[in-house]
Amino acid sequence: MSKIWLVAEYQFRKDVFKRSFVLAVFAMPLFLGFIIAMGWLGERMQQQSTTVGYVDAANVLAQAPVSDDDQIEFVRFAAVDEARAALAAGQIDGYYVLPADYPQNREVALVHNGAVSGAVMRTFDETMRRTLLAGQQEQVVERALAGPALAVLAIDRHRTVPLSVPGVGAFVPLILAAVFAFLVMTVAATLMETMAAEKQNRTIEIVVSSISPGQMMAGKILGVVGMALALAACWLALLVGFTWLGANVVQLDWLQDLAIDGRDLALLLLVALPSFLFMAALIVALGATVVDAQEAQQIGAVAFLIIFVPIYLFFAFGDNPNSPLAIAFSLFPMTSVTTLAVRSLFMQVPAGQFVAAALVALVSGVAMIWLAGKLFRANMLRYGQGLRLRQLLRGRASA
Amino acid sequence: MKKTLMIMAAEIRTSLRRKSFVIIAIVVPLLLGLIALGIGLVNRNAMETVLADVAASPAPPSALAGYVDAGNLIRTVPADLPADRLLRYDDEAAARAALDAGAIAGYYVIAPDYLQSGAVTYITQDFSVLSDSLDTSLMEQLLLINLLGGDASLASAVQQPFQVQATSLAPVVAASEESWISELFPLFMVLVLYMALIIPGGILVNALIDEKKNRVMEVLMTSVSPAQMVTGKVAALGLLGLLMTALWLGVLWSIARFGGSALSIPAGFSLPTGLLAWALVYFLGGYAIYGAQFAGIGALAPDVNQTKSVTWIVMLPIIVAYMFMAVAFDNPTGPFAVALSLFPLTSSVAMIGRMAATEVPLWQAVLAALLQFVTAYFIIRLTAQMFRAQYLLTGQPLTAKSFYRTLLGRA
Repeated sequence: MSKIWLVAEYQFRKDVFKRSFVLAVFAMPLFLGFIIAMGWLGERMQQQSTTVGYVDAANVLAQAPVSDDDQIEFVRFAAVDEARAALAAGQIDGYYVLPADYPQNREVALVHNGAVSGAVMRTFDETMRRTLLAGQQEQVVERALAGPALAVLAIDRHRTVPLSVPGVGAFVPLILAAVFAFLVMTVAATLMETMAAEKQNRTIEIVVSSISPGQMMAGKILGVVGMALALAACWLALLVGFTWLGANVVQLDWLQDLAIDGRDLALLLLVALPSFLFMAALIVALGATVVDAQEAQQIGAVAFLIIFVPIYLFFAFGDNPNSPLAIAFSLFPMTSVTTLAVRSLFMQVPAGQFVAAALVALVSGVAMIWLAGKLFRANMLRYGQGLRLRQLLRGRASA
Repeated sequence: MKKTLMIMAAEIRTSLRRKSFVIIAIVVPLLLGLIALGIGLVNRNAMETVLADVAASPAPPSALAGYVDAGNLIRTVPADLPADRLLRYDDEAAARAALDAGAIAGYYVIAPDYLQSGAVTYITQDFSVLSDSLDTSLMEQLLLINLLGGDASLASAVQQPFQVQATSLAPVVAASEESWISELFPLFMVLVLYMALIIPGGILVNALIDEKKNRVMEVLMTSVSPAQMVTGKVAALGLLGLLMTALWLGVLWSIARFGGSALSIPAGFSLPTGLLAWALVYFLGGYAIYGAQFAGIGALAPDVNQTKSVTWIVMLPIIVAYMFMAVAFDNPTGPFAVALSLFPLTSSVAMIGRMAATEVPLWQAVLAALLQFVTAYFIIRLTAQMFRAQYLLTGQPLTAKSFYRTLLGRA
């Protein structure tokens, strides 16, 4: 056992105390930051400043419409002719007219040049509603404008879902699944290349002169799991830090009330740990059979694709999260984390299914560690050649 | 020329026998195609089930609902509201019993602190946010009326403060046949060009490192010039890149053809042949620029691991162009998009992206192609210098700095 720890400790130190680990720590937050920045930039580039006039012949507007968006400005005109002239001169993009009989028939005219956006219309609409609510208590006004926060509790699914756009907190299981996939991708690349390189420079032969191939594989896998946990902890710390900054310093609205389902998160972590052990063992087993680093990278990419299959089945799983296919994918170690994350958005997945998925992943992971040792042993002296299943089986039979 | 063709033919033969090329060019697209077809089938079945459920459902289940108002907010039910559609229950137990008995489709629970939180929960047996709909307008109207002290006319005015009669002075544009494929086509073209440029480049680097390791290259260099070597290898991998792109496009076509209605190409859409011809021109120019640089990396790097950071830096212009083109599509004639489409290191993807999104003046298309081929000529000449024996024989670690110093002849 101490030899396994020695290998694990060496692997952990080797992977963590190097420059590429620091790069990996910052790579995902930087990637996410870049995606968000691109989205923000795209939105800013689409935004155009709009000036809209209004003519209040009914004299009902107590104050000029004010938008939260600094790109939208409202200007009052005394008469329709003035507003029309300003539109013709290109000084404004459109104008509203509240005729004198507005209180009776509630009809409003809007003349525009095609550049009046939905945000402009929403601002004018809110101004009119505020005008109508004048005299009411402030709390009543705000509630009347916001409307009810409606949610649906489906008894069969044990899940309450908002009818409006759900908050960021609802997507935390999916974020966890994405982190899991990124971890697998990062570790797969590192591990398979290390395995291939150690085989190529024959370091492995020296090491296995003092420990068994099984111990060697188990140690490597444990070291890699430790490295992944360290990486995940760093990412989590950065994520929590950025979320805190976004909520408290930048005051982003969508980060203000993060309602996270602790039960789902805890259960998903329970599945993620053994699933990662299985993935790491699978990667090591494949790494033991490949010839060079390039081949290893290609196999790692295919494993990454399989993890994301449940995302492509989002509609099918979302509409029927208790279907046999969804449950089967939940129990398969390569897809369990992503499938359970998707299903958690639409129902409260029974705790028993999480536990069953964790157990299946754990048993499969241990079996895969054993298999990795066997594969490594069978392939140890086959330099420059891959290992086929038939050869492995023949080797077992003759042993 | 003959030697260049011989190197080219040898490189094509070797690559086609290489397992890594077969995996990327044939196995991966086939696997992805099968996965996409399977997923398309599952999603289509799910969608058909949902549509059948919606079509077969009898009277709308939300016709009769209950509500529990612990905060006693609802005191007035106007006479003109269909009161028989909303039944009041004193507590949740009574409402739940009615639900279990099938007397109501569901019931609303209005939070006692409604004024602050606005929380209203509709409780029902089963509900899918993807396929079920819920009409809550009656409850919303009732809540607003009671929030405003029972004033139904004020509530009605607040719900709809005005009816707008809009007049647009903008020129009338004929309704275009916009479809998902029209919107995604520019991005798709950029992605295809991007992949077609970088994948053969990666294979080229690995092939060169292999030949360096087993000393084949040293033998070859005794009978061919560096320029012949670079041109032959880059051209061979370029042709294979085209072959691979054709295979990938074939798989995509199969998915569109057999993947079901959701994935099929809308009627009336046809691939613009002019654009495809320009795509071929920009692919050749772009590939010559990047392929030559990849060949240089392969010539200098002692092993594959050391090529990663340098390859990434060499590819940076094209990655940046790919990332920014999504933004530039909003304004494909703006100065930013035009600059990206004329700069030789980014024009291969940016110009095709612009051409797919808008009409590009001919002089810009020709100028971009000319600039590309001139740049490619100089880069191939500079790269050929790297194949001199002293660079091939050194085992020094490869860095971006050493790569560019060697490329510019300052090493």
